Amino acid sequence: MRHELDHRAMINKNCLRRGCGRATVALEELSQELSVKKQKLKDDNARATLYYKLIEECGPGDLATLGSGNNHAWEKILSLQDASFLVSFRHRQFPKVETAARELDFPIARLMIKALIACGWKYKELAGSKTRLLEQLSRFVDIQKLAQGEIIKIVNDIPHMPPREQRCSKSNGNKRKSTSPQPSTKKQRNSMKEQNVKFQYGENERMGDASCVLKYISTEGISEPASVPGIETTDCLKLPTSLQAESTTIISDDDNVEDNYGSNNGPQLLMYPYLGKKQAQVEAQDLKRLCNNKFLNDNLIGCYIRFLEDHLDRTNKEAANWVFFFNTYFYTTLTDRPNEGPINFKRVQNWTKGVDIFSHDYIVVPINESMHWYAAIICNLPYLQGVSKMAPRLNDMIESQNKANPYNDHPTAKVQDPVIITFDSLNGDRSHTVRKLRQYLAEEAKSKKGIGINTDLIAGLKAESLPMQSNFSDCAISAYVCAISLTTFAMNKNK
Amino acid sequence: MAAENDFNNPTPASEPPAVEHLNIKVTDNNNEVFFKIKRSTQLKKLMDAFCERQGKQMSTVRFLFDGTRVRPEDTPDTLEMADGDTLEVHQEQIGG
Repeated sequence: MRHELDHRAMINKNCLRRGCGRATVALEELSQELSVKKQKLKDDNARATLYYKLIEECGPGDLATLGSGNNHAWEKILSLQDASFLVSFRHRQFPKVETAARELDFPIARLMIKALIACGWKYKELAGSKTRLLEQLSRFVDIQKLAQGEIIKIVNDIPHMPPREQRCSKSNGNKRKSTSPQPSTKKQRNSMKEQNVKFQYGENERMGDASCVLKYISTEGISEPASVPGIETTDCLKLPTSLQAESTTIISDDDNVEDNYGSNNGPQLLMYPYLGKKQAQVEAQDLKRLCNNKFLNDNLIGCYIRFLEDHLDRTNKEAANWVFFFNTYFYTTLTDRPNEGPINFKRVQNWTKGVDIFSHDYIVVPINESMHWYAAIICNLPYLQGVSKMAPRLNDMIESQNKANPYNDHPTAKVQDPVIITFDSLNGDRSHTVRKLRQYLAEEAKSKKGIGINTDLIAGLKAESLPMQSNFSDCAISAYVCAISLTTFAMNKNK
Repeated sequence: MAAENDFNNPTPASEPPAVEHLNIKVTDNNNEVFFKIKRSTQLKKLMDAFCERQGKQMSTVRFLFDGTRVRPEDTPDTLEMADGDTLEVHQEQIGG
């Protein structure tokens, strides 16, 4: 895909180098030299001009999002004026696409340079060149470093690219390209792929904790706030100020021109995952809550839970099927001033539409109660009597048993017994929580599966030897740690 | 308390003719407000209107549909909402 562009850019560049006034002559010369039909060369040239226009209007990233190649309609139809129109239209209508394109700017610029190198250009020649292409690329790539054979992003450092073997002179390079362009195309495609993958997942595949999320933001520019677990004494988390401005996903600014109700300066939202379902939303002002001694709010917890869920799904699909995450509003809604009975089942009845919670080994319930965060995890529901007849999985719960000590009313809990464990850094008595969740499970079984379950079989445990909070503001962080250890545990369970 | 709000926006001529209005109930468990909204209208308008009516700030409330957080740019279409569906309004949760 990129190859086509670079090939043409090369040709065009060559023309310009020979003097803009003599572009036509150069074109003819070139066509003889390459023994290509003149008309084709002209077409190529025209298309390259169009690419230039796009790059000038916004950046190389646009080419990647639009896609370049012979068969795309936009290339054939678009005139130069249309190009700028297209860009402004997209700016208004599809801010997300635009953001994505901006993020691709640098990698594409780097790819283009690499392609030129592969065609036989030398780093110094490129750095000294005054063509339109290079002028535009210099917006994204440090030209001075380029002369020394490094491709460096203007703002951030990127991994150093080892200088390629220097090729022969440029005209030879051209010929070589025209005769055997395939290898370099392949190479570029591969590296393109690599970069795309890196863009989607960043580096957190390799790291399991939340600190990578921050790194992920700052390196990839994808909006996502997070807190780092275990931080108790560090200073305020310093998010780069540029990050907040750049990574904010601007939404809902399209058809608001005639919007009489809302102002355009509504809250700025960061979304996680960047694309996809069930996005968690964090507002710019929530980020202040990541500072030391601040209380966390539902947006931050929700975002982190969503991150864990997403991470588990990406790294271990099988384990992801065993774990179900409720959001932070579930327990609040369930227990919010019930009209009849102890819980408000009707209000959460639809929340599990399309989900059979009884098929999940672990159900995570983040709880906010009286300005305090803690978590409950409902374990082993599939093994509850009468719920399902599925053969028990080989299940190694030793780890969690070590962690948990039984409440008094259920002194012995076996490995596969259904159990509700509460994780609370204030070590409070949460038997009422367990009771309400049991009632919920009973109602849920009745309404979704039409069966009655004996909730006495579901034990209640309190996790012990948890890190306890020494102040009033760290409870959410402990809840995070629990959630992390659970997902790690679930991931390792089948190994 | 109940009120009717009608969001009739100027529709571009190219819009498919089958424009359908939905009645959506928005409740924070104290108040119920009914909105009439086009299937293709962003729910941001509804949220803004609700907040304005209740004197609340957008940043302190969360809108949920069947337990899933609603994004401002969602529309009844994208959420597959039906006539008479309810949006729940939750307060911001804070804890330490």
